[in-house]
Amino acid sequence: MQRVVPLLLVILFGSVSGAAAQTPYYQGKTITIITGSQTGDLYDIYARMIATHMGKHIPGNPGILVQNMTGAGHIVAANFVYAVAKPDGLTLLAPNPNLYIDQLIGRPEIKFDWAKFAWLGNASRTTDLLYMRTDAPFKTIEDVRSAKEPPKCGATGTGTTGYLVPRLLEETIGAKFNIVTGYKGGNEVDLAVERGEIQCRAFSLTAFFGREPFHTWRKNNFVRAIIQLGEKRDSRLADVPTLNELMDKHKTPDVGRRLARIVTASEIFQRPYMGPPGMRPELVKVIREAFEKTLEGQCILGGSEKQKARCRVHVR
Amino acid sequence: MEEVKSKKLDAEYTSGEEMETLAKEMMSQRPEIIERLRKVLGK
Repeated sequence: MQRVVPLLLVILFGSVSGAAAQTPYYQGKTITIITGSQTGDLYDIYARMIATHMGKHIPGNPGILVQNMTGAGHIVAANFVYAVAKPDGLTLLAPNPNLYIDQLIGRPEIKFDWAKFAWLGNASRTTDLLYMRTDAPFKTIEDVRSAKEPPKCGATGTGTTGYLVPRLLEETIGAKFNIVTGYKGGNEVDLAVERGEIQCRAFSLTAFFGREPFHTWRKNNFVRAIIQLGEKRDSRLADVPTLNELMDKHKTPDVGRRLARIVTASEIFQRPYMGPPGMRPELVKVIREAFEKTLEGQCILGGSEKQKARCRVHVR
Repeated sequence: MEEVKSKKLDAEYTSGEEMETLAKEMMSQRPEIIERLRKVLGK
């Protein structure tokens, strides 16, 4: 028996130390995804979808929570994750994708460098369009360019798509708009269009084809899209020109094209997920792979329509 | 959460590597481009 006990100890200790060496980093830990939105907003909904499903794709199966850290249009959350959170892979960020524009123009509240976050992936992409009431005297974007009295487009504020897109069209292709700001939400802009107070609005193509009142409006020919901002024409808007086509047609200088690239990049960022700078490469790799599996990802930038179709998942 | 579960969310994956490349490109703008952007934003 004297020989058996040490042998058992060796087996036991060997087994334990081997297990310890193989214990996944995330085992028994909890990841927190911080979003700058309120509960129930789309950023929050996406983050909770990721939180529900991603843990099973991470070795060690950590728990994942979502924390809502509102303030200054997601800037408080982004500043916190960038400068305060430890880069230990346990705090991630799901911010508003337009924050890079705030950094570019030098907003003093920004305490982060967008390029230095640990980039983990993006959960959704869309593109923008501008719709016009069909009874307005602007059948195409060329009518807007040549109009003596510009159409009135509505927006909630200056940092939104409703404001940025018409301004971009002014800068790049010489269109003119009267942009009416101050609406409390997108629904209020649409109501103003319905009342005839304004005639147009720029927003996402996903919303245009995804919900009311736009199903009814399209069916009744109440509004039509007159420009789309994707790289290529969406198949549902085959007769609507893209901004790129119009910039070619009107020979937009390089500065304008760069501007368009900056503004339309927010369509690609859409639902970004990042970690603090300095996250260990092996942790970045683990989360990137888990993120991809969570999204059932087959798509990369420039992927085919068939590839993209495969990556569309639905949370029911 | 019942409301969340009932929503259909389109998800389309873009890799972290692609996002990192795009982020670096966005932050490498010439001064005249940034000035033009400020003008567009009315800042």
